[in-house]
Amino acid sequence: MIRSALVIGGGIAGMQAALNLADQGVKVTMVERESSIGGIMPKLDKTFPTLDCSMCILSPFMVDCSRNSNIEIMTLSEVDSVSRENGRFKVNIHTKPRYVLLDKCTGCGTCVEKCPKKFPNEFDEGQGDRKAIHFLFPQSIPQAPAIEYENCTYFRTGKCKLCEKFCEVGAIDFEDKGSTVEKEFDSIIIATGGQIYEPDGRKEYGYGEYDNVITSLQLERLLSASGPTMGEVTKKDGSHPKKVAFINCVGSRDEKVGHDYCSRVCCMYGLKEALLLKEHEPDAEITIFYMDIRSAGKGYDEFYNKIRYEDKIAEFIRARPAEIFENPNKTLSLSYEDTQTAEIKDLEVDMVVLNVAIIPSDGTKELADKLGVGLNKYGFFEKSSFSLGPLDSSSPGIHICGMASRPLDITDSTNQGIGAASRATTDLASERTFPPSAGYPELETDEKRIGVFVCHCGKNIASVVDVKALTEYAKKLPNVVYSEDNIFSCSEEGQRKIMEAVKREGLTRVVVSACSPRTHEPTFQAAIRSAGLNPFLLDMANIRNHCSWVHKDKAEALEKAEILTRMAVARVANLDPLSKTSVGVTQVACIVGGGVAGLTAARDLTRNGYKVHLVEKKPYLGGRLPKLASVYPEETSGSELIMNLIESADETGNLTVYPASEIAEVEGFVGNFEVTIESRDYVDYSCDDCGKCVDVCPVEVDDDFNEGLTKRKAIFKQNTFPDKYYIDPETCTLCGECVKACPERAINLETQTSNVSCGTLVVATGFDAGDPEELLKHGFGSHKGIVTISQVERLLHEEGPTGGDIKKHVGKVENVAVLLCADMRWGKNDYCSRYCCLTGTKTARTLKERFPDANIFVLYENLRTIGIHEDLYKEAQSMGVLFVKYSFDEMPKVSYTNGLKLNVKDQLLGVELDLPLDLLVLAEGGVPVEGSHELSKKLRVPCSGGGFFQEAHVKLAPVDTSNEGIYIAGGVQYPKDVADSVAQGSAAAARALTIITKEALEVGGIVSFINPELCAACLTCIRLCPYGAIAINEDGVAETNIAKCRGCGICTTECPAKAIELRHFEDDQIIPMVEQYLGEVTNGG
Amino acid sequence: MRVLGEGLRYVYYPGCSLHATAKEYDISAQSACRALGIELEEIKGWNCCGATALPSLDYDTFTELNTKNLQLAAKQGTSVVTPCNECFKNLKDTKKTLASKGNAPDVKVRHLFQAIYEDVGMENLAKAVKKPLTDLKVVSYYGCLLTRTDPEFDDIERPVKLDEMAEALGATPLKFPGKMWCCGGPVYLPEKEIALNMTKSILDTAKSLGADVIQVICPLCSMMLDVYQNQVEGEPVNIPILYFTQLIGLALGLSEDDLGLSLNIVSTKPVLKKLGATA
Repeated sequence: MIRSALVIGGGIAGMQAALNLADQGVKVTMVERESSIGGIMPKLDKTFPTLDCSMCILSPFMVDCSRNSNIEIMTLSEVDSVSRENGRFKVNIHTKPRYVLLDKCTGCGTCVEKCPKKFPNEFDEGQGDRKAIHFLFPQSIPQAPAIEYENCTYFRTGKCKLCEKFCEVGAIDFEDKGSTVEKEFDSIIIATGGQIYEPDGRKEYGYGEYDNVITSLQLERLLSASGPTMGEVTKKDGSHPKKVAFINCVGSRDEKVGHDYCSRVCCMYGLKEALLLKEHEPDAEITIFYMDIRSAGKGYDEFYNKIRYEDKIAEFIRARPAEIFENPNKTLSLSYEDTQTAEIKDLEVDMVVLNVAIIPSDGTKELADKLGVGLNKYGFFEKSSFSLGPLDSSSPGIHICGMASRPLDITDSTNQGIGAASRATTDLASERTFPPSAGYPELETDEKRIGVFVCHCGKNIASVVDVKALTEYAKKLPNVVYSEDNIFSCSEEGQRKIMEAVKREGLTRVVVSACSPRTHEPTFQAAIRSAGLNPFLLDMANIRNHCSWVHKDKAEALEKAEILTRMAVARVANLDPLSKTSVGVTQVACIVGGGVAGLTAARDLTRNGYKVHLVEKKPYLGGRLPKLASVYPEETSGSELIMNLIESADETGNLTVYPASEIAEVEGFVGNFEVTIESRDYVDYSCDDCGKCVDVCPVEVDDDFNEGLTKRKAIFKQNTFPDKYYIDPETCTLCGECVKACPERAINLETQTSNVSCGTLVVATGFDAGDPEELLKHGFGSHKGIVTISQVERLLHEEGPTGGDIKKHVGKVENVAVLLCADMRWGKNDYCSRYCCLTGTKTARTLKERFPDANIFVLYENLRTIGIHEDLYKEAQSMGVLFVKYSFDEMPKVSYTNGLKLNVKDQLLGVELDLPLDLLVLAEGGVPVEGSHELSKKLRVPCSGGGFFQEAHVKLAPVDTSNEGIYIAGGVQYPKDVADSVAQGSAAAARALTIITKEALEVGGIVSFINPELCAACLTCIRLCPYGAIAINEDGVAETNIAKCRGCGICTTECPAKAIELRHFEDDQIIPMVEQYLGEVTNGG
Repeated sequence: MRVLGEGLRYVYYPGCSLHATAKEYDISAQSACRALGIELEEIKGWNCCGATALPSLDYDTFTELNTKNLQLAAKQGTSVVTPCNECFKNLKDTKKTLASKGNAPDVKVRHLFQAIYEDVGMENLAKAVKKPLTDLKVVSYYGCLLTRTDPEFDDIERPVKLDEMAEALGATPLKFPGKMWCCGGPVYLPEKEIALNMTKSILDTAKSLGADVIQVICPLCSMMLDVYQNQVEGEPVNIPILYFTQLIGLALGLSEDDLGLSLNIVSTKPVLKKLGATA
């Protein structure tokens, strides 16, 4: 039986799940209730913090879903009923009538043009109109319109049928009754997403009542080039707003409407929208009303700082406006109290944007009932465990990802979507199935028949570049026999037109004048390949990013677009048909790092039936987790959670652990890596726990497991896995005293080297807590009353140095302050490490629980208890923990004379507080682990600025790296909490599975080729190649290993003998481009 | 003609204001109900509801006071109404407290306006109108307690039902942003200036909209808007403040005396003049 999964929901999380399942050989049925897949992303203009065009980065994923033969997309469909039989799910799926036959419709859009009726466009959030028959959005998948029954004139009056009359292929079917089918699946993934809160519970803001109060999603549509105003931000009366206020937390952090939680994305999208608005309306004065700016994520705080402090895009006021009134001239008056000055003020603006909450999507309750899974108190799908089961429901075989379970940004939805793909395949016994390779056709003729396809990209290109003129211009270029323009070349319809033209016109080469090959080359390569051409006979001219987005003058823009297109035509004429070859895959994975993310990946991979080598630097597994006294919200100790995880990974028999080990070298390439592991795991299992070794060990060091609160020997024992004595290789002097003392001869101080082969690597080396240098800068020196959060966790841990009694360490606990951002965001570490507001608040709450009479303060700059962690904040507040807002400009000061004291300026009360303290807890942030840079070099994976590993794409490929086959998970990518680390661990496992489930992979194509006649064996290329892809061969000249070569071109440019050419970028392909460019300069100038 | 409220009989809890400072509210409530065919029967032996101060000082005593009123009301009928927002809140809150313990007296608690809105209905009320309040520009002022006590009845922030009533009576309700602003009443004694400033915003906004009358449903609101209107700084606004029962009464053709219109502090003559009730 072939493995199969049902993915409910076709948003970004569902798509990521489906694509990664399909790529592991699982048959996927994707059920989507709208008429197109896509979810919320197609509605967004740009994405934070990189400001990528949302639709543009999403579109390739949508097309991939539709093209993948392992994925069946069912739109306008919903799950009707579910039952279990013999461990499988029987699911009835009901499809509503589209009234358009998908197998006949060509997506030409004539019916839409002819339809006489217009209605408010729901996709544009009620702004603008759409027809009764419509495409959900231009790039919709499937590329076919649907008739809206309620609004169709024919269905209401029995007359009209204009769409049917004009449809040339007879695709309209008014008799469509929909259908119900029964299907069987091994597992189910819930990816039903969330939806925005319609702010009708906040009537005082006048949404729906006043003309110019809109939601943030409505503004996204106004900002979008394909929106109702084609990217013009206008008020109801058509004029442009000059003063705009954004209000955060509308419907979030809001008991009144029953959403106590923080929606996690609104601060960031609000900042982004403010920035985009400023780009559209440079004169606009923007005010942002906020409670806390929760820019907690990689690159997010930097984004916030730039907008607020560097570029000063907006004025920020810490207030929650009480109400809004519409003045007779339609301007809006906001009343608010500026909580930092305690003044009651009014602000008059001409537009208000409500940054609305994310809530469970409609129908969540009904679906939960059908599936027999629970909901949490806010109505989202309940997970089996918040921290360790973020992708699992309480019902086996049913998994959850994306906003179905809580509000998440695109990055985390992606992490969860990919992760669900590894959760859904564990413990399945059935077969995997892979589609056959499409092949690499040879050139059939030398005749150069070039087709040029010019893309409008909606209005993105067409509003600046005259695409019709460009299309006509292209026709006159040498070898060009055909050209046409498309609204969206990357849409299913656009691609189909390219394929048809290739066949009809007998094209042999294709140029697409559109956007960036970085995002869209694979899309168009696949299209021409389907039409029978070699995929490498394609070139793209980027007339969007390089032209329409940066130029305003239409004449100049057209001229530049012509030059770019002419150059591409010149190149494509000289391209060669390349092919890739197949190499076998070592179906084994290697994981670096045995913390919670690495162990999660290990569990998912071993439970999928694959061998895993797990390399851990410490002599024990678990990373930071076993040190923790409690994990929120489970309230169990970290050691307990980690032991469950280790057992679950270990019991398959597929796991080999290398404790006290490090990666010495990594050779090879995706599918076939050779990893050299150096192990200093000096104590073996014949140890009988006598402890004599410890007595004789002369090395005494700070015990890092106890965060330096106690001392230990270089050989020691603690309650972690594996259960034996450990020698810490970093501090052991190899003196040999323990070896002599050991009666069982269990100790061997030799470094063992192992070589393992694997097809993929997962890097999960975590993060370190605290930057001692930064902490010391502010006088947080050595005083027994000053401890870090990590230390408090040990002091509260039953197995910690004080047996859980923190008083043994500090004496009395009557006055406590927890200082958040102690070493983050204001100095060298100018980023937010995302988890510390949670741990700091948790610590304050735990201390208040233990010492109810103590005065406990939490000092924060912006309190970032994101998502449902807001519950913890509220809980701590209700218990009497006092929260004090401080400013980085007036950092709290510590003094030691007459006892420990902290002086802090309370930004809300405006007064200085002198707090006598027994305990000052520093909430230290996450920093890259020592040795990250060295490891990154060995793995040939770049680090980003701060030293965390760089993901391939921050939004849509967060666990991929630029080195194919190597994936990252957890703190190595960026500091995060347990739940997010676990989700990424599963995501990395899923990505790894897409490699090692296959027996063979394709390599080659765009690689370097060394001409042996010209090579002088100078070794320049060998030294420079970042991938170790070049070696001297038997003939004494350099040769490229095409499996390792990534096609970066460094060797090509550096070879002194000019012996190296990079395929697809050869001189005779590039020089004609230059000639075309220079030719224009000469002619024009 | 069929009597509108035929068969409607409510136990009536006027509260202390209606026997003292807000006599015109009591008079007009009784008259309007009578005209609508509603029978009001005052609770025998009622006591103080505890007003604003008591619940914050001694919740137990507060609960006891209201429990007694509820129990007495339950003896006389199944539905108790009160024209005072404060009394309404205190009765309703206490009923909730008692219900959570499972011993709430079996009596429905409503504001008089709510009872008329729900039981008589605006359509029927419109039919009963004899002298429509044509061209009378009315702004409706709710005060803070009605919708917060019963958010099910009308929207907390943007209530509309008083406007519906004004419309039913033939008047022209104006879109009034100040509907839910605080009248300042609760802080009048300790912070007179602040309180009057709040009153002023309401009066000024109503005036700027061109309102002929502000209709109110709470004796404390009326105290601030009507009685203290002349204490507000600046030009006198001279805007009549009428209880909703007085407006109903006028539309039903009741006399000035029936509605206690001479007891209002700001002269109600301009309203009567506009309606052509007096020459």
